[in-house]
Amino acid sequence: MNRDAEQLERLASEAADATLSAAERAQLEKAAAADPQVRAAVGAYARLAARLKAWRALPTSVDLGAAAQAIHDRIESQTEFTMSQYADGALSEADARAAALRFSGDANAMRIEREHRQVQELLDQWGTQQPAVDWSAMQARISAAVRREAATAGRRRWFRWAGGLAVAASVVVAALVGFRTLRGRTPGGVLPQGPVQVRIDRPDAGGVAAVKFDESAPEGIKNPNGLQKPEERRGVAAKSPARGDEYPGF
Amino acid sequence: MESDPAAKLTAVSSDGSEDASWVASTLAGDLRAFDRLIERYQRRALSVAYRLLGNLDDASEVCQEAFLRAYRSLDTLDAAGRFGAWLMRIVSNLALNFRRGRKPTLSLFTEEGEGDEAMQPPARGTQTPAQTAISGELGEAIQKAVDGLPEKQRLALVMFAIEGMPQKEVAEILEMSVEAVKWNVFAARKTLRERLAEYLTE
Repeated sequence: MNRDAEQLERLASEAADATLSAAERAQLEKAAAADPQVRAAVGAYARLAARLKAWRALPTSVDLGAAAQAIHDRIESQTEFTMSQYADGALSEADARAAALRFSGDANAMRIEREHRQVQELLDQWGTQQPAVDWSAMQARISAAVRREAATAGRRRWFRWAGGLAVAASVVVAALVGFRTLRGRTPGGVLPQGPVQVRIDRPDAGGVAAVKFDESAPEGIKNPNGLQKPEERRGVAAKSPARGDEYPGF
Repeated sequence: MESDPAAKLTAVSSDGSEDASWVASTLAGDLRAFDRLIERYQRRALSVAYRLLGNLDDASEVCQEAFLRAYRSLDTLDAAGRFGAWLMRIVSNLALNFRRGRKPTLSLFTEEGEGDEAMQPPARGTQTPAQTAISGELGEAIQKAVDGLPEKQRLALVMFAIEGMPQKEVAEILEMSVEAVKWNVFAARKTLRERLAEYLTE
């Protein structure tokens, strides 16, 4: 449905409610005269509105006795609430005066107020009866429990911390062991840093291999023991290894 | 039995600044500060738990567990000055859970080597609060009537009408409006008026 059609349908719906402006009514009438679908929509919405109106008007079964009782109960409950607040002294001065005036001649209201007051008096008496408790001892008991809790939490924190430390130490030891192992197996005792390139030059003519270390490695690492500089090593010829030989450190 | 009406309002006098200071000190590791909070709120906590549960053993257990939970979760308390209301919410929730049969997981009274003479309830038959000023029968009737109230009504009645907490504070603890507190207290009293009718004299 395009925008114009939607607009016309909305007008058709509102026409049934008699809420259109003069301009809108004129627009709808013009469209209805020209378009049978618009006429049909206007008729449909008018019938729908009539049905709804009739439905609202249908007599419903009302238990007037129950309704009256519900209203009575509601009023009584509100009265009781007010009297309860009055008995509590929870009403403002003005509200308390109004309540006293309103209920002064109402025996039922006064009875309610008296009974609420009596209930509160019972609760007051009941509330003042405290069990026999040595409060100092109770405080000591709770305090000791809290200290145990704090100690337990402290141990839990220590174990977490120690566990983390142990893992970290293991990683460091493993790294050191690995480093030393690799160092011992590397030519010249130096672990190559960065990428290592291996190039086979004309393997068909004698099997010559060239090894190149990355020059971006720190100088101290690249050549800590007076090793040949990378450019000196570059192009160093070596015999092609036999099957099963190793190039340590690669 | 100990009758100490003034004691029940001890905690109400706090404006919250001391509480906030003690909470901060506790979080910094000073457990003596938490002792002050225990000292301030233990009576109210135990009293409310006792009214809700009707049994000192259970009330003591709930009270102690409430303080422990409060300590464990102290860093989650947004407004440190509202420690009292927060604790009472823990107490009431624990007490209600206790009533529903879900007991707190930790009972310090049963820990090994922890004899607790100080907090042992009096011998059965002497712990009912109704035995001095109120006859045993009436006390039992009140306890039974209070026990039979819906939870919100029972909590509102105990905190406001029995423990004397301000309606605003009860509203905060129970997370309801002041008007709702008033209505729940009223509804509770209305029920008690019917159930205790034979004890209400002309």
